[in-house]
Amino acid sequence: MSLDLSRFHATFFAESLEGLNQVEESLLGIEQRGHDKDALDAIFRAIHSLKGSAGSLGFGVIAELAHEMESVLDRLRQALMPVSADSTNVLLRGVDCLRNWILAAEAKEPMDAAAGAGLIRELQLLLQRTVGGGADASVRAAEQPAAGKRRYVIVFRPAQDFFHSGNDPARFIDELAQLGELESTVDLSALPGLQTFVPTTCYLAWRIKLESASSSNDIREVFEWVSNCCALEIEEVPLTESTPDGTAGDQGAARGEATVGPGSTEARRDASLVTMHVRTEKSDELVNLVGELVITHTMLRQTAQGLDAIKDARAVSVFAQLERNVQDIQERVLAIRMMPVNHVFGRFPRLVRDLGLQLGKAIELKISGEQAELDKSVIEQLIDPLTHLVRNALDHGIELPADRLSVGKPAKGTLSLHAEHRGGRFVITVIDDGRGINPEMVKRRALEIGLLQSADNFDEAAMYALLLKPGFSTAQKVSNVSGRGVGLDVVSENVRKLGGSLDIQSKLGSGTTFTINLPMTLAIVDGMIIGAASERYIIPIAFIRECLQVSSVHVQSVVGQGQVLQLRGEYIPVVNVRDICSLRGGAAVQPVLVVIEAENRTIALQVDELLGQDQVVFKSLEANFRKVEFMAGASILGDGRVALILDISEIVKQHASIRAVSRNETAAAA
Amino acid sequence: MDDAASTSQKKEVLSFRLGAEEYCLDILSVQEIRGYDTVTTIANTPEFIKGVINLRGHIVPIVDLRIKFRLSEAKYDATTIVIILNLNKKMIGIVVDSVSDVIAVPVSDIREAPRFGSAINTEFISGMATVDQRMLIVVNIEKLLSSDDLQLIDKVAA
Repeated sequence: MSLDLSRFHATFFAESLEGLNQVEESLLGIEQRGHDKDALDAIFRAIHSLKGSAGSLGFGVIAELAHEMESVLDRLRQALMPVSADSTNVLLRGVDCLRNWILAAEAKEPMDAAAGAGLIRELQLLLQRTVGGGADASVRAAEQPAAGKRRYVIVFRPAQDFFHSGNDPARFIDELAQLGELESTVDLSALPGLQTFVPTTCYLAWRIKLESASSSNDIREVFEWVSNCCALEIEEVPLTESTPDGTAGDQGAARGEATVGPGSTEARRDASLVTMHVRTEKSDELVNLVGELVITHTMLRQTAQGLDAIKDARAVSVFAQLERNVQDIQERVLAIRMMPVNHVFGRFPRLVRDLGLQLGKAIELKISGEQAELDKSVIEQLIDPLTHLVRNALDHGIELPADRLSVGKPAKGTLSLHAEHRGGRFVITVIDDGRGINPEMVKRRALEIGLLQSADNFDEAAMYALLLKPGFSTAQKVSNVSGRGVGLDVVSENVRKLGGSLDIQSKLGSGTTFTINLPMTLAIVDGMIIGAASERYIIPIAFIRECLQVSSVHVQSVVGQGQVLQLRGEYIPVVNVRDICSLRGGAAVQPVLVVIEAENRTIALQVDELLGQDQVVFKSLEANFRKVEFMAGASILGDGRVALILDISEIVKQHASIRAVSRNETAAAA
Repeated sequence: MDDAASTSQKKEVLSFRLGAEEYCLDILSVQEIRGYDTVTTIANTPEFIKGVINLRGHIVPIVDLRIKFRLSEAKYDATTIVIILNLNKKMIGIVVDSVSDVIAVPVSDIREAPRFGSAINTEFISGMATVDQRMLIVVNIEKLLSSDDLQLIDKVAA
């Protein structure tokens, strides 16, 4: 029998890799917080299901290593073995090895089986070391019920007249399930043939395996009510991978047929199926199709305007329903592309831990804002630059514990990663509390390698600019962590490719802050739709401070300076959108001033009217056309038509320079 | 012409009218033909760049060749046609007077264009062909649309 298993492979790879990432995360969490039963259970389950799938798909090597890891994890979760740096290290390396194998299998490359042999030996050693004390530990566990779970085998044999007293065996099994993880097998041996079968007689018995922290008395209590009409045997069995009767939990589950399962295991396994993998092209196609749907819907709406609200009441209400549905679909589909930035941040706890050990530095990693969402494609391209910054901070930034103590800092260094939406842009900061950048060293090095001709005019800004130059590194020794002279320039270049900027702020002795400022390209932007002449434009809401009716505020003309809005003692230059966009047409009835802030400047944009707020998808004009002055991009509005998104930063900058020129002219004239 | 080397092969072209002349372009660069719909104008661009439209989620610029070559009065009504081209994965729409048909022209029939005064600069004409007594001017549309004076693409940064 040959069954083509390869079609399951893709799913297996994707799910396993995801599972391994979670395992890694949990292992690191346990290392920090200590023994955590739930987390260990989750890890155990993940490795266990990996073992199962790998085995059934013919990846024996993977299954074998997973099995050994599982054995160690089983000990850990039953607290038969302490969670130590040793165990975590070996397990993490196991995760790495499994991941490499899966990646190799995915790329159809041979797996490096030798790598696993060493690990398996280490895992077995780890097990042997605790086996000696194993029996001892289980005795201790028995004395202290709170210490961990125990495994019981319960034989529940109701009397034949069990039903006569109105009892239901299932209810007791349900109640047992509340105490812990349970697996029950029905014993049908007493069941007579159909001729002699009496429906009101109970012929069944149950053999129940229960893993619970409760004592045997607690279990007995469950059956207290029926103690006089059933036979009950409770036996505690040692918690090892293979129980004497040869049915470890997994085999029983695999056998499945006689498993009555109010078991909580199944429910939890289902919970891990809430995500699925979709190719990016598919979601892109979906986004475009939804755009089409919106247009079609708009056309339909125009047709439906002729409907009579009373005569065609049904059509009108169905139509309203359709409108809501279309809107919902649009929103949901656009949201698919957004992912929390945690997809990048999530890899750093491991990196920081390993690097910290390697460099002999104690480092606390603080992550915040990891739930902020960004377009998937941008997130993927952030991995390299961010990894670089983190490595940099660990290697160059944070000092050795002894050095830190000598300058009065806590021995443990802190590295913070933070992400947030700020002003229509996505800002990520990487902050370390290390030694900071030494301007003298930068200067000396720059002179040395000829990046700087003379030491004159060397200020902070010049220093930061030098740091981003190719080939610059002040690292005193070349390590494999960083300091090969490629670095910040690559980071800066990568960030610029995404349309963002990299900013450095450093204070000698107290640390360095790297700020990555990204546009929300491709992202969904909250926009204010405004009208000017017959056109519509979008202003990203993040830039808007307030909106005012022109008639209600004080606007003055200043000779040679255009118009100025006087607002709460502040003088704000006024720019008409019609001028920016070279629009003509009748004067607006009730023009509105939109006060915007960008680049630390404030201006008031005069628009004809405000048309409403909407979430708009940012689309590049460059894809089929070119960059257009004062426009950041375009978006498709609810009616399917295109509206351009104003580039507020550029408008503010340009406006300031026009003003500066005219001021110079005034000065020259004076 | 390198095309002329291969005989008997036929090349499918889409013919369209601009003023009094009939032009044609390689059918493989045509993505679709659609009616002229409202465009969103773009400030500070030449008059012949009508603006951009939403084509199934893509923002596509529309160029009116009638205005560019000052050939005929640019009217926009239900019969105005836009040819959507797909060139190097970039989509561009061009407005012409009318689209005639798809013709299979024997490659050997495409002759080098004489230096005559057609509305479109000979630089952008890759040849001439006569089919059923109709004279077709074969336009190198890719070269035309990427030329500097159409301002459809960013100038390469110096």
